[in-house]
Amino acid sequence: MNQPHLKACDEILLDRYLDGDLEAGEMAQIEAHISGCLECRRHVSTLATFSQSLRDRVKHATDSVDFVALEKQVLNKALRQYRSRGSVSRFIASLKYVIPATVTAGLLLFFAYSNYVLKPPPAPSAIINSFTGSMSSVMIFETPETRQTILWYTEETDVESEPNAV
Amino acid sequence: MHDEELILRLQRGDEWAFQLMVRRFRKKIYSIAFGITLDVEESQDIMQEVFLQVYRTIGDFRGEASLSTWLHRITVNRSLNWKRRWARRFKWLHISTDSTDGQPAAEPESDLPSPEIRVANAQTRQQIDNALKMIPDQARTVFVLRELEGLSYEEIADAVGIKLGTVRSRLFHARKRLKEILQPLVEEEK
Repeated sequence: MNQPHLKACDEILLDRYLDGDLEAGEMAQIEAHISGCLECRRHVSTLATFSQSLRDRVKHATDSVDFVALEKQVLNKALRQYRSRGSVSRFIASLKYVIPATVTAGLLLFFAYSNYVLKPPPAPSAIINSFTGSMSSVMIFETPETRQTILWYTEETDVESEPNAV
Repeated sequence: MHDEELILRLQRGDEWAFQLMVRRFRKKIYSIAFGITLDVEESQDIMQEVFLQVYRTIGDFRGEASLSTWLHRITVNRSLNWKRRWARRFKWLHISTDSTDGQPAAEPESDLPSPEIRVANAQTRQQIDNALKMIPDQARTVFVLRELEGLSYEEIADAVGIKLGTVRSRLFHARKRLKEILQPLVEEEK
């Protein structure tokens, strides 16, 4: 089948030609054009030669690398990562038991302390609501630890009064 | 062993599978890294980092892409990140022209070519490196994946994370730029 020739140089088509990305019809068109166009022949030749040189260049660089030594390094590093990750995960796993145990111990300590160590102040044995009679030299004391109040007074010797202090 | 089985074994923490993967893909990864960075030491570091990243994150691999596509993607990202490090970028731009690989040009004694050929080879390598360095990073990456690895446009799009049209356009610009760079050299040789 006859394909119409390309009238002008088409760099996009030339690129696709280099990549082998053309349909059969397009391929025939571009090949027909290249055969009659010095500029496009140079374009294709320059880039194809460069690509080959690049592959040779990278192969030269790759051949000089000691991949066996590099592989060992990678494996050692990976193993170290694995071990450190293992110790971290073991630590995290141990927290599963440590945290509930700590919380339980803390609660027990809290209850024990509040029930047995922190005794509430003793309640008053009596409350004086009112007082009648004559008295003098009234003194009020409070014991330091049990915080009990002591009333100290002198009762007047009055015939009508009666001792009313409680 | 197929890649699917290799992935399953890797996910189970099989050391032997990891070693097999390293052996299977080490040259491919190194080539891509070298094509992008043009630096021997950095390419070796990148290769190691790629494998260690795979080792760390293989549990998250869901198999939406093939193992090689995933490896290409990590390699491309790592290689392009390398270019973003300022100190190394400086080194890249100002590296000596004596040794093209950043290593002494030691050749095996028995296969030693004549000094003239060695000089010519070194000059050719230098010209290739210089030409590649003049292409923008993104376009060079696409070009390297196409020319070195022979990846299809679709595979390149997957590896780089760009659209198919962008692959075509970057490839076109890389070649256009290369032609501009190489044309004077071709004229000189005539």
